[in-house]
Amino acid sequence: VSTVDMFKCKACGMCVSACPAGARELTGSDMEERISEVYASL
Amino acid sequence: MTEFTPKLVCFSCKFGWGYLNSNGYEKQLKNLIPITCSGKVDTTHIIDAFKEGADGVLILGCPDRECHFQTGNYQARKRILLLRKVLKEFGIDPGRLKIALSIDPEGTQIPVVIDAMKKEIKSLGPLRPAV
Repeated sequence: VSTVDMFKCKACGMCVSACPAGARELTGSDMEERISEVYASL
Repeated sequence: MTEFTPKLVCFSCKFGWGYLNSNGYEKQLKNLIPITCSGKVDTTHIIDAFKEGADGVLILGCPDRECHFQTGNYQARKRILLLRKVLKEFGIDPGRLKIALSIDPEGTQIPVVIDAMKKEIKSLGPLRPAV
């Protein structure tokens, strides 16, 4: 869990991990997948 | 002898860079990782990139006082500042890790910034010399 997860979104006032809009994207699972993909190709 | 092509991993904040570009630019740029906020990039992500063979890491975040998540860009900047010092202690040139805090809705500057950093890394040479 990064520190950003505890910050609140300017738009909805919710913390990143609780944001209902694109929760998967915001929790970082998309990012982790892309990271594995990129690192494997290095 | 083959010419050295730097492997650069770039983390790009979706709220500051390229959010108006719907052409899928992130797929066209090699090793670009779109992220929710620059503050989401952890030190382990950066260290892992170097471990996996990257010659440089670039983080693109929002400008001062314009972070969508209030202070994510400051958190990222602090983290990079400290990590650069750690990398230097381990004999890795701190120039291999950079953060750019700006805004580019169209994403047109992303390849320009990446190319500029690649040039700098090229002058530093590969992180691990080819055996």
